[in-house]
Amino acid sequence: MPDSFRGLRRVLRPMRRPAGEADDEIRFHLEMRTQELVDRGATPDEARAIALRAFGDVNAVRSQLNDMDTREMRRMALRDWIDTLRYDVRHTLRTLGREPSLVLGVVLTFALAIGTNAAMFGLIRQLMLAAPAGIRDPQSVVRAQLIRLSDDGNVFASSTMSYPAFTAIRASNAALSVAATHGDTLIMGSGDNTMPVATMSATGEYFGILGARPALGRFIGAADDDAGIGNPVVVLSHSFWQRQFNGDATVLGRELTIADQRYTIVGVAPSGFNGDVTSRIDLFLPLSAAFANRHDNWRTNPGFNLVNVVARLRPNATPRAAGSVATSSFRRTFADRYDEQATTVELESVVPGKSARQSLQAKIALWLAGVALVVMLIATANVATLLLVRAVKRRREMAVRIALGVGRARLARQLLTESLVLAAGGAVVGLVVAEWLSHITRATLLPNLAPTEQVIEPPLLVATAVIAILAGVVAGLAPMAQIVQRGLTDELHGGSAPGSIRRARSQAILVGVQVALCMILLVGAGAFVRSLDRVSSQDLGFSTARLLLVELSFRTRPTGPERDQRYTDLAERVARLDGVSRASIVAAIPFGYHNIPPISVPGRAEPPSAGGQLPIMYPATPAYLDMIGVKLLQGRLITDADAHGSPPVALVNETMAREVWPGQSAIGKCIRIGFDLSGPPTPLAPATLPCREIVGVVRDSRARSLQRTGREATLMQYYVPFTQIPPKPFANASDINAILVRVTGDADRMIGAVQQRIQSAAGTSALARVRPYQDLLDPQLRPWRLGATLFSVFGTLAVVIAAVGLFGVISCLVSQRTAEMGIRLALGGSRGNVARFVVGQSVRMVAIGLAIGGGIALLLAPFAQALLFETSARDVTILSGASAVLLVVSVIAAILPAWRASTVSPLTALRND
Amino acid sequence: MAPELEILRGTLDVILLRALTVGPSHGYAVSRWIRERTDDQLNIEEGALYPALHRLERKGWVESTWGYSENNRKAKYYKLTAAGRRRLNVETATWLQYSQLVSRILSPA
Repeated sequence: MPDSFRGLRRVLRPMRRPAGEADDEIRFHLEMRTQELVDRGATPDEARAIALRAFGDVNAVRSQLNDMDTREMRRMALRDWIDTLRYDVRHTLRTLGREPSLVLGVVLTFALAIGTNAAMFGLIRQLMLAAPAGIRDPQSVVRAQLIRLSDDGNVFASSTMSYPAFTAIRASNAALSVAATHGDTLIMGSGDNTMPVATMSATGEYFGILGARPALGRFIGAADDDAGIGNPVVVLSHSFWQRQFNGDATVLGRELTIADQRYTIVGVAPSGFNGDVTSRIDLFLPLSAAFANRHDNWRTNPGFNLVNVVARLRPNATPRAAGSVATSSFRRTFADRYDEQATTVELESVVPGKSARQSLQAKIALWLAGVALVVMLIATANVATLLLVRAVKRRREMAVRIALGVGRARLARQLLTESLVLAAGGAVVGLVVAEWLSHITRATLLPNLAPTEQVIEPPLLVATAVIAILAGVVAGLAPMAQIVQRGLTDELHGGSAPGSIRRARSQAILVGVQVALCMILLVGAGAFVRSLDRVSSQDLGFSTARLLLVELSFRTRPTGPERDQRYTDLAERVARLDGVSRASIVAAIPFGYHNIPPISVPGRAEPPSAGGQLPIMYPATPAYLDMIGVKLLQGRLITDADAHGSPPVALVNETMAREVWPGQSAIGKCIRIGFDLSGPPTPLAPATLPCREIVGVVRDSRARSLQRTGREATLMQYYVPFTQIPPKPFANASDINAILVRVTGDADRMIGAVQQRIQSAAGTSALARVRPYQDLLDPQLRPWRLGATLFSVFGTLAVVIAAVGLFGVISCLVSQRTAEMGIRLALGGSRGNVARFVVGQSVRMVAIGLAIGGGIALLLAPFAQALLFETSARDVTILSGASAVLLVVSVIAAILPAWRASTVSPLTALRND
Repeated sequence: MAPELEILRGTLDVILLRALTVGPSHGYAVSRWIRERTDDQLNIEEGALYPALHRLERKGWVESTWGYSENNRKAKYYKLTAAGRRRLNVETATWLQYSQLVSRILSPA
């Protein structure tokens, strides 16, 4: 064991020092005292007894003295250890100061790798390990989900439910307390000074369930949420308070205008508190106050899915048991609804459990973490290689120091100090990298996640320290092993040492490990880049090019028909704006809003359905069909002549034509669409409705998924003129959801200018939200984009790191074998041969790594396959492409050393030894 | 003989420092010096001197060395350091002032 640890052990181990000194001191005292008494005339026995009595408890004093001495010695040993450490660190800093390029290389390698890992650790913690911040005893706080079973056996989970569903769960007495919440983006302010705010409206029980303490004022209580219109009060989130009010403590009592209602600020939530959700919340409102202007029967209508349900369980209750109590109450409450009798209420803890670990975000984070770990391994192997190469250069220095009597252990300790100091430097820079990286990752790859107020938290610091120490020790082991090895002093005798073969082998192994890991990352990069390319270049049957989607938030709450009128007016004005070539009102759109009204085909008792899915309806204007790029196969498209009052028509897609009228032409057939306003809701349109003639058949398009699997493969779609939309079941419902706009140039680039013009056309009573249509598809592209970006960036990084390592190793090899090269040249070997030999060495090292990495990539392939799109994880082109890249790198890394080796003068080379 | 007095808390250190002004001495000599100065009227458990001396050493007010006593026995000698002397001066001044004030308060008017 090296002294460094022996020293430390001396500090930590309980020591039993020979009690000699304290004993001697006490014995001397007692003898002198006895002698004094004897001198005064006492008998020796008497004298001894008196002396002992005067002294007190001998044993107690002795052990007290021993304890004091032990502590003192331990303190000194610790001081010694720290002194040596300080010396080693100073020495290290001095030595490293002379090699700034090595330090730069190693610290940067470590910083990138450690930073990446720290950032990923932070993400994983937030997504998968930690409960939402600020919740007391989060284990007993649960969210409710309704699990519904459809007739064809599919299971649907929904966390949004109706208010009556919430009251049924609350009345079941399944939990201590149950609350309903509703998240919405509302407009704050009035006149020109408005902004969208993320609000959470909750019933009075909510804050009691979460058990947080307000930073200022109070939270919303049961009294604020009376069954009437509630109290118009608002609680600010901490970050909103900081952002909008600069943390002003006098905000309490001020008023805010939210959705044209005035609310009084009564409190500020504590820092980090974000309710029970992960998406950012600015304001908390009482549910009944937020819904005060709703003119529908939201409290009693079981058809409005409006609220999420949160509950606190009784102590020791399990979510499963409470869930089954809630389920039976739920089914009793909805006894008259046949379809709810198979519904289950599931309660799940807010502490991330199995389902959180299966979410897409969690999967992304896990992938990030896995790749980050591979980069860490490569970085560590690379630092080990660089330190090893350096150690080889310093062999003579080390040998001299050993010959001069410096202990091997002491040298080893210094080497370890070096690599740990380098790792510490890397960790410090790495934390900066981590902070930066986690902001970037959140912004680009996980945009829906609530921002954390602070990235660098104590658990992250601990994790970083652990990573850095592990990496430092592992990277330091390689050069240390060399020093401890016997035979180092042979170096002084000149010539190649017998250890050099073994050394070369350990370097080759380290290079091989790096190459193997690089190979895995490159294969991953290839597979994801190809997937992304295939998924984004596939023909979806419609186009998003140059299209923007405009959605309005109305400040007043217009009725449905008023809303539709406002949209229609605006669409006409927008179509005439600069930079806009067409515009159309939209009710349903692929990857956006869906419309699935009851449908029937004359002569059939069942509605047409494929894979348990009814056909999707797209109300369409002629402009809409043109902009989306709907392709006509048979018959005609919808025209302006298909107006309100003229004979109703429809277009169907190929799948629907084939499914509904197999072997026949769909043209001229007819379908009925619309609700039966007299009876209970059914998927079958009543026969009293007029039959719509099919006037055209169009190509299929994708509607919901970029992958043509499951229901997506057999999707029936049909289009009806906007002017002939079937009447809705509620008088107050609206049809129009957005305006689709085609701009004259690139959608992303023109969005700013167009947004301004649209907003001024919309006036002050509505807020226009404009986004590229492509944004609706983006969430589905994200996993592939993520994989492609991630593997490409990390793969490139890894290859560069490995190339540096390879260059170092080959250079070292060449300088070690200068003599051999000289002999070869002297014996008539050509310079070309020497260069080929050096390059060959490099290629051989890489080839072994390639074989191993390729093998591992093949083994891992099944795990990645599900994430790829029309690409095999064992694709030969990708594997050979990755190999080619690494082989080219191996040649490039060897070119300079090979040139140096071939230009060596035989005389100098031989004289060198 | 007058009744023995219990030593006041905190005064042992200053007494030991004063005892060592005479010159470097071992624990036994210190205890004997105290007994002689006080005519045996101060009741100090002799064993208590040693932890106190060690504590003073750790504070840097005394130094210790092993040497040989007058009867040629191995003994640990304690010696006042410069810091210890300064400490003694401060403590003595404080103590004198304090005891004067306390006497003034307690003496019959």
